[in-house]
Amino acid sequence: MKQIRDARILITDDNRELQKMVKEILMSEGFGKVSAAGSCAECLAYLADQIPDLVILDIGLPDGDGFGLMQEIRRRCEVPVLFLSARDEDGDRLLGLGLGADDYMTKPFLARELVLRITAILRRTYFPPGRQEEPAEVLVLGGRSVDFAAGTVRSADGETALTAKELTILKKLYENRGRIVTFDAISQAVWGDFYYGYENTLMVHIRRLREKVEENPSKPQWLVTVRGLGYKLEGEARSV
Amino acid sequence: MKSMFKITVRYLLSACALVLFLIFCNVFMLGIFTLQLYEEERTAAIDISHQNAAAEELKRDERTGEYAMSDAGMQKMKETGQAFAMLIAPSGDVVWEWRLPEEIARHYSLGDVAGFSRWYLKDYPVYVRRTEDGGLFVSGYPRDSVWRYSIEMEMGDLALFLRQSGVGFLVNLFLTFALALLFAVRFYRILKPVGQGIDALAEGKRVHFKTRGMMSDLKRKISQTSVLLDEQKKQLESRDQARTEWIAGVSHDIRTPLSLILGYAEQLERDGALPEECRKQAGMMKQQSLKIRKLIEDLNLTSKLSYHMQPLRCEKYRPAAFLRKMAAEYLNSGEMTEEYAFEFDLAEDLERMELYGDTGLLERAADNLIGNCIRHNPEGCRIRLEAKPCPADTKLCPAVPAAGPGTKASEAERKTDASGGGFWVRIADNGKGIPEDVQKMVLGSKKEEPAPEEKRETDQKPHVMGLFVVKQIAEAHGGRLWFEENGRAVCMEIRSL
Repeated sequence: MKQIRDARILITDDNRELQKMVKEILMSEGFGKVSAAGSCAECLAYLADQIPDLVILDIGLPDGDGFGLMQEIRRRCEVPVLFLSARDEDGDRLLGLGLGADDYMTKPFLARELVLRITAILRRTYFPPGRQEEPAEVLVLGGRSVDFAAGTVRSADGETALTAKELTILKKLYENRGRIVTFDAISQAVWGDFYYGYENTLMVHIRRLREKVEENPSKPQWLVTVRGLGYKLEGEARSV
Repeated sequence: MKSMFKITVRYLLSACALVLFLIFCNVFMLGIFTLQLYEEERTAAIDISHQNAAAEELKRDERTGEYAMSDAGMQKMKETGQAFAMLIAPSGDVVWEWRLPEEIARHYSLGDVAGFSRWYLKDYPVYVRRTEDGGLFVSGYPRDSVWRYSIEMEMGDLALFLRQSGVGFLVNLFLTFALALLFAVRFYRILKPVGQGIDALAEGKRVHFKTRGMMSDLKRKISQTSVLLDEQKKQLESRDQARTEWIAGVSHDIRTPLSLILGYAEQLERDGALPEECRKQAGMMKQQSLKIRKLIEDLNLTSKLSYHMQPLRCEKYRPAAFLRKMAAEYLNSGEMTEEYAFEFDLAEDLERMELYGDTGLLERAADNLIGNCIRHNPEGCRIRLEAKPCPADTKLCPAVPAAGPGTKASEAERKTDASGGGFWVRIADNGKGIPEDVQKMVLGSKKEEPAPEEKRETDQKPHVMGLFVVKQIAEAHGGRLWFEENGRAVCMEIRSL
């Protein structure tokens, strides 16, 4: 599999119409190799022949339940599994995920969400960061750019080094760029689970960080505060 | 079991009261009896004054030396029921007699006199009186009419007796009290298991007695009641369970067909080959399908919460962090578009607070509340989320909305312990607000779901179900839900589990 869209996906659901619809959704998103099975037996027969890159499992199947099938699949191979079930009980969700499923979605579902989740699983499984030579990214903030690999901020005036904590904070914000990251989430990323009491320290770090990445630190343009909630990083990522 | 102790003490006291009452009654009755005797003059027979009066009527005729009783004296003797009378001269001879029976002697020695003056004369009770001339006037009464007994006692003994009778009275009182106590303790011991059984029944526990001993009947009845209650509870539980399972089943069955509607509507909406109008319509289908999905989820959850079939997953969380995360997620989701302004305000002392609760459910509640603000004000509004710790005592929670979160809390409230208890969340918007009838429906009953005919009046059905779930979640966390500002603000109290 060279590309995510090349993944072979097996849908196991006893409802033929739903099979057909999921197939169509995936096809329309560019997934070309989608197969379907209507029962545990059909699914296992398919697996005996070839191992797909991802299996979508329903829980209520005519000849057994998805959990049993999941265990059977795990005995044979390590293929990622996504449960797509009409059961919305927490217990079922936990059982499914506990058995080692990669995700659990309940019907009815948004087609877009299904595609995004499938893509995410495939990326995690087959293109994890580090395994593939992921293109190094720089964060461009107006006239300045942040090089995460080097831990520096480059500007017209030269290069400024970031401290380890500043780098961690910036990375956390960068991973969620364009989205609000709460004080708690940032503090947890920097200081771990027992982060309570570091609010002021965090503010100090943010102020120093702004001095390095902002043109005008008192009027931040990229690292903005969302009052009462946290911070948000604007700016774009560019491959080098 | 306190009540059992009380019962025993009361028993003891009433026993004492009973004894005192009896003593009082006896004394009273004796008094009445004595009074009655005197009033009826039934003691006239032994009334010395009458005999004296009769004796004085006996006169000696100086000329003849004969004795004679006047008519008045006769009358007196008859009145007092005297059987006979005689006068014994100093010589020992009977010199005057009246109705003297044959068997009575006519001559007496000193010894005879000493004998009958104390006791009886031939079984006739007699009374003796000295006359002026040295004779003895003897009044006799019918046999068996009077009981006489002479009491003699040494003075020392008498004093001792009087002293000891006081002690004896005290000993009697003490013994009575001790016996009452003994019975009370026994009574308490016997009743104790029965009382415990009733307590257990009240707590809904299963009770089983070995039906032996004094209270076996009562115990058996309690055991029977317990079994009956148990059966009823089981029946109710199984009925509730059946209902919840039925709702779960229906909602499960709706999910797959709804998936198809939603999935295809979404596909159509994004199909560039279709005319704009058709895509809009498909978008509408998608939106409505999502609403149905939400309804199904809420219905399922509400039925589970109503019948306690939703196990609470208790975990530690920080309300401040939790609320920030919820708000950030909403702002990040894109659901809150340009038209909506969002304000977020947490009290300083909420930061420190750590609670236990089911964050999954709390997320559902917060999601429903913020979602409501957005859904019911499609043209945009300003949403404000506030939270602060609430007083540890639930009873202090505001019955009057004005005292709720968002308004200036009193100093006393501010000082309350921020580390325990719970917190108040208030989610308000400046939009339409929740209609009053919907508010009433949500707050109206503890368990009842809103009546269908009431629901028809308003076009905001999801509102009711969603808010109802929020209320149940708040209640599951020991808190409650209320409205402020004509339904423009919804407040929740959440406590630690």
